[in-house]
This record gives sequence, C-alpha cells and structure tokens, in this order.
Amino acid sequence: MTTAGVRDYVGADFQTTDAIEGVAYCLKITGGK
Amino acid sequence: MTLVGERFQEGDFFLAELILSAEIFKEVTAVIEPRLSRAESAQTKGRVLIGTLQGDIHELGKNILITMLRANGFEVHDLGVDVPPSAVVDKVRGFRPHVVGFSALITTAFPSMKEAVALLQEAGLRDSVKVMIGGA
Repeated sequence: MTTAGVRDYVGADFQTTDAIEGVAYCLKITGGK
Repeated sequence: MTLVGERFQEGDFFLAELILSAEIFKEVTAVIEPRLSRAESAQTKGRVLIGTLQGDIHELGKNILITMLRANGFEVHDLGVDVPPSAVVDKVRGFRPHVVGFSALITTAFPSMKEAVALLQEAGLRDSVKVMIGGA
C-alpha cells in the first residue's frame, strides 16, 4: 500500500490510493488538453 | 470492486472471492474498454506510462486506472507487472509520457520504484515527466 511516506521515499511527485484522483492528477498535469 | 474490498476487510469475503472478483473485473474490462477508449483518436489528452515494478505482480489497481485513463482520452502504455526499473527508462525515451505511474500493493516493489526514479534522474529524463505512485 502506498502512502505519502512512500512517495517521499521513492521521490515521486504524487501519491494516491484512489484511481479517480489519479485521473484528476493526469488531467491537471496535461492541462486536460 | 470497492464493495468487494469492503467485504474482504469485514471478513465476509476471503482470498478466493477477492481473486475471482479480480478475474471477473479483468474480463469485463476487456469487453467494455474498446467502447470507452478514445486513445485512438487524433487528439489525446496526454500520454501516461504505467507499470507494476519488480517485486510485485498485482495488477488490479493498475488495470482499473488504465481503463479510467483511456476512457478519459489518455494514451496509455501498460508496462505490465514485475517490471525491471531499467525498462521504465527505455520506454520513457520512446513513448515520451507526460506522467509515469507506478502501482504497488506490497512493499517489495518500493525499492524498484525508487530505483526507477533514480535511473530517470541519471538519464536526464526526470524533469520531463511527473511520477505518480498508487496502490491500496
């Protein structure tokens, strides 16, 4: 299971356990083009 | 699948039900995804590279996200499961994703995810992508 602590350990920009949040993050990054 | 997860946590479902549910979800996804996907259209919303890295073979969460991303117009490349970190760098070079996603259910994949990010940094590719991790 991922957490904010795992995000920091990995060096990632974003972490979630919710697929909807994952899609929202991708839309935010690409500007929803 | 949310309901299945809740029932598993409550002790009403056991591992067999969990695995069977995942297999059903996978088969249903294969049927509905082509109807939902807009990845083949000329105007995609972006490119996303996703995989479950070395040390973990769970793919249900990854597959749910892939289905949802494609339904929302993203072009997604699925690296699969138990993926070596070096394969991420190779694919980032060719696919040029906006976002790289790592899915992990168990802790054994965490060092591989860290290594993949480090390899992206070494290759000078880290600033060209956002790295997203997930898994519950």
